[in-house]
Formats: sequence, C-alpha cells, structure tokens
Amino acid sequence: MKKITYILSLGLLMVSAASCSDAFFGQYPSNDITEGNFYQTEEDFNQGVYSCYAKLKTQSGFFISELAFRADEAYLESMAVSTQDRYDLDNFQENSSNPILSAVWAAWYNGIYRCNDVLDHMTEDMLSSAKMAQYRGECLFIRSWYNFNLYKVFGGVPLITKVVSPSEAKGIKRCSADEMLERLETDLTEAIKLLPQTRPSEKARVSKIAAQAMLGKVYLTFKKYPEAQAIFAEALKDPNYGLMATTADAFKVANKMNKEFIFALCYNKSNDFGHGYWWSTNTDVEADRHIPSEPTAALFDKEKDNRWPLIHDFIKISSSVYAMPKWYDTYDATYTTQVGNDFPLIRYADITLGYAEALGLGGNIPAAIPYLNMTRTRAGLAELPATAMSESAFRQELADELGREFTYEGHRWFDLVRLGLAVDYFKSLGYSLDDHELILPIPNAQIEIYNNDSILWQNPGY
Amino acid sequence: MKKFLAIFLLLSASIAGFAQNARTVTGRITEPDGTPVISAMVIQKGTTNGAATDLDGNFSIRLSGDVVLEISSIGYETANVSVPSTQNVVDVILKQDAELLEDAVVIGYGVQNRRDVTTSIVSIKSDDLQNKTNSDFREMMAAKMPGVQVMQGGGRPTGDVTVRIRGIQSATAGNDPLYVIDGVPTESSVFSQMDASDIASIEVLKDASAAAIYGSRGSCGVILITTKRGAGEKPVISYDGYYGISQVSKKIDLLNAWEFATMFQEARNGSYLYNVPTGTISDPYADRPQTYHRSDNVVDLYLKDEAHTMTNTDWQDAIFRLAHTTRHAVSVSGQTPTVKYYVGANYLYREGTIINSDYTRYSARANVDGKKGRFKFGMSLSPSFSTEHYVESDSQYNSNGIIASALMAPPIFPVYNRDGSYNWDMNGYLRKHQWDTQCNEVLNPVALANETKDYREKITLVGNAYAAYEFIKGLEYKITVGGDYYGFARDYYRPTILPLRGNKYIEVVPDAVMAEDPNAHTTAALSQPSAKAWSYHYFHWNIAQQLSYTHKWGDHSLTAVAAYEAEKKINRTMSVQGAGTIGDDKIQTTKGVTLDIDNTLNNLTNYGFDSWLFRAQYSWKGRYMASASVRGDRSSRFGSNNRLGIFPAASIGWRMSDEPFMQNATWITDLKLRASVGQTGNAQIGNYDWLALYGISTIYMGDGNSVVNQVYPKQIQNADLGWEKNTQYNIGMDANLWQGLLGVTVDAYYSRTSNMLFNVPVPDASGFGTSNVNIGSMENKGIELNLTSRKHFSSGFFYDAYANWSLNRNKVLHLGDEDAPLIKTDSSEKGFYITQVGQPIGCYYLLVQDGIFHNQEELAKYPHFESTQVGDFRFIDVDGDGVMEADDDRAIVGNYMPDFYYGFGFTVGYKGLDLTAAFQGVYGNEILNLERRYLCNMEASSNMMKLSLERFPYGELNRATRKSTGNNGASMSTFHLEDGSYLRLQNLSIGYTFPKKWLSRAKISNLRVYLQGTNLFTLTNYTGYNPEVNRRPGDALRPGEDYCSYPLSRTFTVGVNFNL
Repeated sequence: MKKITYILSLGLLMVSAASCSDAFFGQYPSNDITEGNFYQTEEDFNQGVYSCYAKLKTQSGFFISELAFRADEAYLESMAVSTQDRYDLDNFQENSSNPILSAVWAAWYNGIYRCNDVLDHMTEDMLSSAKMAQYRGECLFIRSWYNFNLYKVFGGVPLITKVVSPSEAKGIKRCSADEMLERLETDLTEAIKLLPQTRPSEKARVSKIAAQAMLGKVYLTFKKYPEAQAIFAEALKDPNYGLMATTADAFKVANKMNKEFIFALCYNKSNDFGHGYWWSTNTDVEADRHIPSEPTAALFDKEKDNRWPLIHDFIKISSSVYAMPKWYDTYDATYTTQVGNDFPLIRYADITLGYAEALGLGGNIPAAIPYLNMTRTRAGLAELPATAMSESAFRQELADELGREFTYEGHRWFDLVRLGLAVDYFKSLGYSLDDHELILPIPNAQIEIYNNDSILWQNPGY
Repeated sequence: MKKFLAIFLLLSASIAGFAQNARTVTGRITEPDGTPVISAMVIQKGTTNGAATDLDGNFSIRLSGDVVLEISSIGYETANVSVPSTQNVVDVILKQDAELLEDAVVIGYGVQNRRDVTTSIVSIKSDDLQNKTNSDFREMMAAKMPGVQVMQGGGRPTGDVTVRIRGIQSATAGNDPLYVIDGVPTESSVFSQMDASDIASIEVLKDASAAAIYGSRGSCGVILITTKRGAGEKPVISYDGYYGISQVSKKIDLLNAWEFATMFQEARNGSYLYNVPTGTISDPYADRPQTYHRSDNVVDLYLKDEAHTMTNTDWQDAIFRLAHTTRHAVSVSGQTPTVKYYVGANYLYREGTIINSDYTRYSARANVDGKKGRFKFGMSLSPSFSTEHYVESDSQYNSNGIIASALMAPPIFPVYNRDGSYNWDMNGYLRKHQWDTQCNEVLNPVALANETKDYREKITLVGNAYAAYEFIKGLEYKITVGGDYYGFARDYYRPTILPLRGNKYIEVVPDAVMAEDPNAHTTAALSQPSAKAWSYHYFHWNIAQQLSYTHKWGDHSLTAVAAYEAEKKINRTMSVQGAGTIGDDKIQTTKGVTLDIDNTLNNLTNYGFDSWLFRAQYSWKGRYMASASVRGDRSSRFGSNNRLGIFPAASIGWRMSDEPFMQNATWITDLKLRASVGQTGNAQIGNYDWLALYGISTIYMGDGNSVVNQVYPKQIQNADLGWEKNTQYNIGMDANLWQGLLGVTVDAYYSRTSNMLFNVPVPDASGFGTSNVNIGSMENKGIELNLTSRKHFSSGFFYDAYANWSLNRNKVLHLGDEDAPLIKTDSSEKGFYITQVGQPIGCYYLLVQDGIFHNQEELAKYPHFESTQVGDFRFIDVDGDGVMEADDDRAIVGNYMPDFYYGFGFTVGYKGLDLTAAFQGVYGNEILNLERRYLCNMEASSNMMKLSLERFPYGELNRATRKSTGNNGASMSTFHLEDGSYLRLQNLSIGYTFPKKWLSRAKISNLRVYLQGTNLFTLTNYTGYNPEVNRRPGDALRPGEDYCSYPLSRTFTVGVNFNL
C-alpha cells in the first residue's frame, strides 16, 4: 500500500512538473526590437522615419552608376563576368532576370513598406502635432519617391498604401498611369502641406520645397504642364534655396548641403559614413578611360562651359586612382574607401530647368528661355535669345542643357525618355533601341510569384 | 633472446606433457534451449591448445591431466570449466550475454535487445571506431551504415563533416540529425570535440518510428552516442596512440609558367582580333586600342625561354606540406560490487596539410555508476579543450582565400624575393608594369597563410547525473539532469604587412631600375591592420523524469516508459572588431583599434522545449513484437498558435524463424520481418522566426558628424508558424543465415514531409521577398541493403566482411499556393538552382553546353547568343524556339544528391595478424565546380587548369580571349557541372596482436601494433579537390558547390594499443 502511495505521489510530481509556464516559451532576442516594445514614443517614430531615409542609400549605385550606363554617359565595350548585368542594360539587351532590376524593385518596395509601417502605427495621441506632421510628410514624400522611380523604370506597378500581408499583396494589381498620377499627386500635395518650410539641422531630411520639386517633376513626366508650371512657380518663391554661383560650387565638398541641394544622400568620411570615389578611373589616358563618353563630351563647348572640366579634368590621387572633379574629395591615405561627397537626388537646377520645361512644352517658349539660361549663363555659355524657337529645337536645347548640368547624376536616361528623344538618339549612336525598352522588364521572379497575368503582367516586348 | 628460449622451453614442456597422459575429450556446446553453438572456441586455458565446435556444436580436443577449458563465442558469456583427468566428456551450456553491447541496442529512453528491435536502427560498436585517424569521429561512420550518408566537406584538421540520414527531409529548416549523448540531446558543435576512444557505441535511429520518441527533433534521424562505462572485475588500463603523416590527396593540374605565358598572350590577341577584326597578332601592342589587347614583355619572355630556365612556381606546393599527427588516449576502467568507473584522457595534435594550420585537442571523461540496494545513481563528466590555427582555405581570392589565391597566382612569379621577403608581383604587376593587361590581382597565398593570425579555441563541458529507484521489481523511477557548456573564442588579426589586394597597393620597379639592381622588387603598401575578437558560448540544460516498467509473465514480456522533460539553451555571442594603425603590428588584439561599431556587440538568445512521452513494447516469446509510442513537444521557436506538436509511432515485428514451420530450414539461423510507421517533426529553425522584429543600425542624417540610430522592420510576425511534420513508413527484414555466414538486412521506406517550413518567395510589394510559412511537401523513398559475413575457423583464420548500399529518391510534391518554382543563384550569381514540383530539391538549372562552334557555317546554322563567335560555346536551344536566351534556355541538369551510395570492407586475420580495408563510394551526384569560371575560362585573367590547353582551335573548349563572349566559361553552364561519383579506399590497415603468453610476464593483457593508410586513393572523374564538397551544407536549396575548399588529406599512421 505504501508503495502505491509512493507511485501515486510520484505521478503527481511528474504531472505538476509537466506544466512549464507560458513565460518559459516567451523567449525574446536581446539584440532586436520586437513589435511589442516599439512605436511607443516620439523618438521611436523618429527612428522609424530614419529607416525610410536609410533605405534610399541601398540603391544609390543605381542612380550613381547604372543609369549612366543605361544612358549615353558611360558604356562598357565588352562584357566581363562581373559586369554582365550592367553590360546588358547598357546595350539594351536587358532581360527580365537582370539582378540590377530585381534589386531595385525589391529595395524600393521594402522602402515603401517601411514608410507604410511608420504611417500605419502613427496616431495623434502618440506624437506632438508638429512631429506628427513632419514625420507623416516625410514618409509620404519618401514613399512617393519610390513610387515615382518604380513608375519611371517599370511603368505602372502595384500601389501599396498600407502594410499588407504577402497574400494580400498578391491581389494588388499593377496600376494604370492615371492611378499612379493620382497617388503621387495626393501624397505629395499632402506632404507639401505637412513638411516644414526650412531645412532641419539633419540636412538629409526634406522640407517643403523637395515635395514641390518632386511633384513638379511628376507633372512633367505625365505632361501636365500647367500644373507643373504652378507648382514650380510656387517652389521658386522659397527664399531658402537657390542656385550657387557655379555648378562646381554646388558640388564642392566644402559646401555640403548648400542651398542648391534640396534632397540628397548625405555622406561623411570622418564618421565612417563615407563612400568610395564615384566615377574614378585607374588611368588618365583618355582613350582608355572612356569617361566622359564621346556622346556626353559632344554636348559641351569645351572652351567655354565650366562644367566640362568638372567631368573631364581628372585629378590624380595615386598612380592608379584618378578622381572625377565633380565627385572629388581629398584622398584618405589609409586606403579605406572613404570620401564624403553627398549625392543630390533633387537640386535647385531641377526646379529652374523643370520650370523651363513646363513653360516651353506648355506652349510658352519665350517665357521658358530665361529659366533655361540660368544654368547656361552660370556655366559660362551665352544666353539663348528669348525669342520664338520651334518646339523641337527647344526640346533639344533643353535636353542638352539637362545633359550638361546633371552629368553623372542619374538624370540623363529619364530626361531623354521623358522628352521623347531617347529612341531616335540612341539609334543615331548605333544602338538598337525599341520603343518598348523605354521602360524596363518587370523582374521575372516577381512575375512567377504572382503567376497571374491579370495582376502582374510583363511589359510588352519582354 | 632469453625470452624466446624460455617460451620455446615452455612449449616443449607442454608438448612433452601432452605426450605422456594424452586423452581425447569430446563434448557439445549448446544454448540453454539446446541449440548448438557453432564455431565456439574451446581452449585449454593458458595454452594454445584448442578446438572449435562443428555445426552440431560438437568438439573434440586432446588433453592431459587436470585442466581448465575456456569456452567462448561471440555473443555468449565465456565459460571456464574444470576438467579433471578422469573426465572425458564435457557438455557445456553457454549463456547468451545480454550485457554485451553486441546484443543490446540503445533506443532512446531505454535499451532493447537487438533481437526484439522492430524499427530501423543501425549501430557501430567501439571496435569499429578504434585507431582511426579522423579528428571528428563522425567521419568513421562513413559508408558503414546504410541510409546514413557521411560527407567530408573538406580536409580541415578539425574535420568537416555533414551527416544526412535517408536523404533531405526539409527545404529550409535544417537537415542535421539530432545528437544525443548518454540520453541528453546535445548540439553537434560539441561532437567534434569528443574522442572516439570514449565511445562504446553509436546508434542511428533511421525510421520515423524509432526517431518519433524524439518527436519534434526526429525527422532527420537521431544519432545516439553511448560512452564507455566501467566493466570487468580487475581494473584495466588501456593505452592507444599513433603517429601519422599526411599530405593532400590531390593537386589540381595547373598550367606551368610557359603554358601560362602562351595562354596569356593568346587570350589578349584573341580579344584584340575580336575588337579589331582587321588586325593581326603581329601588330605592336602599343598600337592596340585596349590595354587588355596587350600582353606584357615579362610574360612574352617566357615564350622565348626554350631552355625553361625562368621562374616556374607551383603555388600549390608552396602552400601544402607534409603534416604530422600525434594522438594518445589512456583510460582506466573497472568495477567493484557497488561502483563502476571509467576514466579516460586523450590528446590529439593534427597539423593541416596547408601551412600554418593545425588542431590540438585535450579531452577527458569520467563516468561513475553506483548502486545501493534498489537505489542507483551515477554521473558523467567530460571536459575538453581545443585550439586551432585556422587558415582561410575556403574563401575566394578577393577575400584572402589561400587556396583560391594559390590556384590563380601566375606561376611566373616567385614566392619570395631574392632578399627573402614576400613577393607581391601577383598583386597587379601585370596591370602596372607596361599597361593594364587585366590580369586578376591575388595576394601571395604563402604570406596570407603565414602572416594572418586566426586562432580559435573551444571549451566544452558535457555532463549529466542521474538517480534511479526501483519501487518494485521492474518499476523504476529515474531522474536525469544534464547540461552542456560550449565556449568558442576566436582571435583574428590581419597585420599591416599584408597589403590589400589590388594594383593600387603596389609599386612596381621600372625596367631601367631593375636592369641596374637585380634585387629590386615590387613593394607593397602597408595596410590598415584589422583585429577581431569573437566569442560564442552557450549553456544548455535538460531535466528528464522517467518512469519505466518491465514485466515478464509466461511467454509475455512488456516494457513501458513514461517521461517528462524540459530543456533550455542560452546562447551568448560577443564580437569586437576594429581597424588598427598602419605600420603598427606590435599589439595584435583589438586594444586601441578604431572600433567598427556595427560589429562590436554582444547578444543573448535562447529557446526552450518541454515534452512528455509514453512508449510500450510488447513481445510474445520473442516471436511477435509490437511497440507504440507518442510524444508531445512544445517549443518557444514556434508561433503561439501552433506551439504544441504530437508525434505518434507504432511498429511490429515477426520472428518468422521461430515459427514451427520454419524449424526444418536449419540454414536460417534467424529471420525477422519488421514494419513501422511514425511521425516526427523538425524544429531546426531560428529561435525567433515567428516574432515581428525590428533591426537597429546607425545611419548618418547630415547633421555634422553625429550618427543616429534607425530602427527598421526586418521580420513580419507569423503566430501560425508550426511544426514541419514527417510521416515515414518502413518495412524491413533481418536475416542471419548459416550461423552468421551471411547476414542480410533490407529496409524500404517512404517518407513524406508536410507542413514544410518554407521560406517562400512572396511579392516584394509586401515589403519582403520571402516569408516563412508551413506550406509545401516533399517525399523521400529508398531502399537500404546491408550484407555481413563472418566466420572464425578453427585454424585461427577469420574474416569479417560487410557491404552496404543505399538508394534514396527525393521529390518535391507541393510548393505553396501556386507551386511556383524556387529559383536560387549560386555563389557567382551566374548559375541557378531550381526547386520545382516533381523534381528533387535543389536541382542545378543551367544552360546546356554542347561543344563549340567550329566555323561560321556552324554558327549560322544553330541558335546562339548575340555575342557568340566562332570558337565559343554552343548551347542547346532548350525551348526549341530558335532563339538563344539565357532565361528560357536553361534546363534541369542534375543534382547533388547521389543516385546511390555504398560501402564495403573486410577484416581478415590469422591468429594475431589482421588486415582491414574499407571502401566508400557515391554514384551519380553532380558538383557545380565554380572555380572553373576562373581556372578554365580561357581568359587567362589568372593561372588556369591544364585542361584549358584544349581550347579552340586545338581542342573542343572555347577560344582564348581576355573578354569572354557568348556566355563562355566565365559564365555558368553545364561546362561547370561535373560528375562527383567516386570510389575511395577510405582505410587500409594491417595490425598484429601479440600472443598473450608473450605478454603475460610484462603484465600486459593485450598488445597490438598497426600500420594504417587513410584515404589512399579515390577513383573519380571530378577535377576539383574533393567530389563530396558542398559549400553550404545547411542550404538544401543550393547544395553541391565547389568554390575552393580545404583538400582532403592522405594519411599514413603507425600505432599501438595495449591493455595492462
């Protein structure tokens, strides 16, 4: 009997031990923040907004390099193992599995997700109204930046306006051009209302004029010239921003985030947030270096235009490193790849030339000429007379000026496409470029994931 | 000499005695039930006079006087029988030895007699693990057990082992089996630290029914290790030790300096003629438009060096060496009426075959078991400490990879300059001397190996303690508390004297200066030294309470067990990294360095499990057997909605040979049929995969020099994340024919993994590219065959042979809602893997190369890439649309999983002499040899394989050109895919065991010396170092890639074992 008591009590012991509490399973990592303890304070939201900005940098190479290869600013003569993907984009042999395209697609959508995550969690009781306005404005601006770029590269894409689950995402189809315009217009208009007039001390953060400039460029892209004129005119009233004396001044490392840099990726070599030289070469033999390319060189009056030396007179850093003056910073002798140029995504020249485009293509070429001249004259070129010129002549003048002003800033391809010049121009250079290649193929891996042609279809021609 | 004389006299004396009173004694040796014991040895104790029993168990022996007969046979307790001079007939009943491990099988939460096992379990006993020269004892399991594939990924002195049981069960969770030491689940990292001499047996639970007792962790099989415990009345002191020398078992056949020069010039000419079709190869270099159209005069000099007097460096010889290995193992074991003990200590020093790599390990073990009445208790403790000098063998040439650098370094450059300093010409001389010939820079691999400090230390402490009480006969309660501690520390220092890779870090000597001063040489810039310290340690504990009941009544036997256990693992990592001061190597630690903030951190993670289980096993007369079990697991790794998993299993067995109708078939010693079904789970996923997580890192927001923290979402919450379940059916047969002359075990199985944890690609539009969900299923089916044969002849000759063969077929059944295939890239991001419904997991998905285009006509006739030229690869137009497109013309062209794998071996012996050979083989696996994209790309951007001489127009490979066109060898295709089939003589040893009587005066009870060769030869067509290489053993979706790995070594050892 005693034995049985033993056994019974033992059984009870086992059963009682057999109930690890839920706390035993509530294991959390020490180095990650979890859903439950984030988005509690104003600073949490601030850090969330930082993450939206941070994502912009991960695809900086697309703007700094790949778009220049896609355009006429740089070219690869023959492919090599490491540059096959770039070669394909450069030579209009792009295919839908090009990793450069799938990388930007993924990164930009991740950026949109970050913006949405902040926007979805933000409620008025958690933040002061000033911070609420600023953060919401910034998220809307950055989300628009990603949407606008997705549109320029791929055409209509699924518009994601809140955090969605993977299965929800599968049901969101590519938007039409009108839907994209409406989205960008709505978001940027709200951002313009919310963003501060003056630039915060954190100069990577955007202020009102950035949203105005982007909305203007959106209108240009959608050929809404009157709307573009209005918004650029508004932006030009901002007293805090303007053109520097020369393009070179705007790019000097000593003048970081000057009044001409409206929206830029900020770098700093002294706190380990620098980068390697952009567009440096290891030879100064012009024939070997191919930078600037012959078509780019042909845009310049090499005697007069002070922007020519900026991309031509390479500065010797060491026996095998030559830096492009536009992106020059003093060499860090430790051989770590640290220089500190900022990369502008929107400059004041975008506004002056954008206004010129809006006026000129909106039917008022004489009014446009003075704005076209602003960057010409500071570069040392003669003023164009403010007289009537044919629209096609104006279009060409504008394209050339954009090409000279924004060389190696990732604008050229989009400018030529927007102005409708790309196909004929690249054909004249000997490339075979077809109309359908003005937008690039949707990454094939995405097409396969959706596996539904009525939701995510491939662009025609690919 | 005196000793021999004495032995001779002794022998003569016994013969003399024999002659005086000799008589013939006969008898029969049987089991208790009267079954004859065949081939039992009957020996007059203390002499060599002996006989063996025949098929009926009868023997006859000539004896004289009063003697003691010692009767022994494997699997039985040895009997000593006194035979007085008056007795002429001796019948002896031998008892089967239940204690002997030969018959007992460890099954998890208990032990079962081998006869009664109804599931698929294979084991290795300590004898098979003796004396092998491997650092990681798991290597010794290779090709010994059907269904257990042991792969050696490389030849690091620490060992580099992956074990897969019955194929691949999971796509994205791990596929490693669960390791259990003496009943306590343990991490595999502790394993490589164990010394084989402490192991008594290894059991592998292969089918789900056996493994289901480990529930959520059983789906990839379970490996149970039992360590040695005390035994034997007298304490036994054992020693075994060996000394060995190793060298790499294979070198890759590379171009010599003159061949390199030929290819180098030809590739640049090829590029020139492609870009400038009007040119000729006699055009002066300086007139050619591109610098990569030009060779360099230091290379061209070789083409005139007919006497072959110039520098010709074999870089492989420069980094490989003859390596030494030493091992000692000592143990003492014994038992008193109340205490059993085993204490062992081991030492291993093993040099790597790459310079400056070695491994030293010290380990010890103490196992103590005690008994007082109904109370039993015991504990085990096993500490170990090891150090390793690691070399960066497996990295690429652009990340300090020693092997990659050695394979790619041009042979025209010496290892050392005339003044004895390291030569740095390979770091870009050919890009700076005359012009940039676009020869890839590599760093001097000898300098990389010798000057980089990468020191690694591991400490482990594994222990457990138990107490058990038997309430009534057969009913026992047992509590076991186990824990293991693992500590890893790594110090890394890359000194300032090692330059960075790239021609901008060297200054070459102008030819004019060189002409003046033959000692002048390329100088390299000092680099910023980098220092890293990294440590990882964990503590893992486990508490198990177990109630077991054994009862026998009549012909019935029942064993039941119920248990509850809980465990937790706590991991800590710490990392400090930074950059030092150029030119200063005085302090080679992280002290004083500029910290790399993002990589200087500590981290704490953990997980917990709790489980309960029941199992009952029933047997009727040992003829009909049945077993059933169920286990429930809860784990913190799974979402709160899916935390509990239940894993049932059942099995039955029928000993057909015990049936009355089989009694006439006397040639069938034993025949058992088995069938089982069970369900297991897989919990090898991250600790926090179900939680919504935000990452934190620093960014710069343009405010002065200040840096701020960004917090970004990095994982979506998934509260439904649950167990991956594997259901497996197994049927099997064990047969023993003609008393061990032939043993046959056959198993056939079918397993299906469902709710497969799949990191499925989801629309990027959701924010992330993949999401972990329980979706998809996969099957494995296979056949395993094991044959054994052993016989001991009365002449003293014996043999013991085995052969096994395993076949597994894997197929993906379902991949989520749309069954969209998963396409992944290889390390070069040029080649692809596909996981697709209806195909095995992780197939190679590549362009299919089919010869080359020999002339313009051929080129015109067949679809090709736009840039394809005559002399370039021809690829098959897979989709047949007449257009060659990289995306549309890829095909599934093979898999890393073998068609089958096998092993066979034997031991033959005569008296004290034994010869053992073990072979292992794999058939039908393919390896993606990525290294060929440099070594066989015909670009001569580095040194290349001899195979590259077969280029167009001299052979059937593509033309030489510095800039490949038409997806030639620098891009990925089936040209890079090779058959990995091989047959290897894994082990060959010859040993001699000295006769006991020679040793008794030295108080030595056993002495064996042996000579052994490991990995003596491998028959294979594979051109890389090792046809088993797998760059990412943990990634089932991208297996089987060779992108440089430590070559396997061939080792010769001489060793000795003795017992006192």
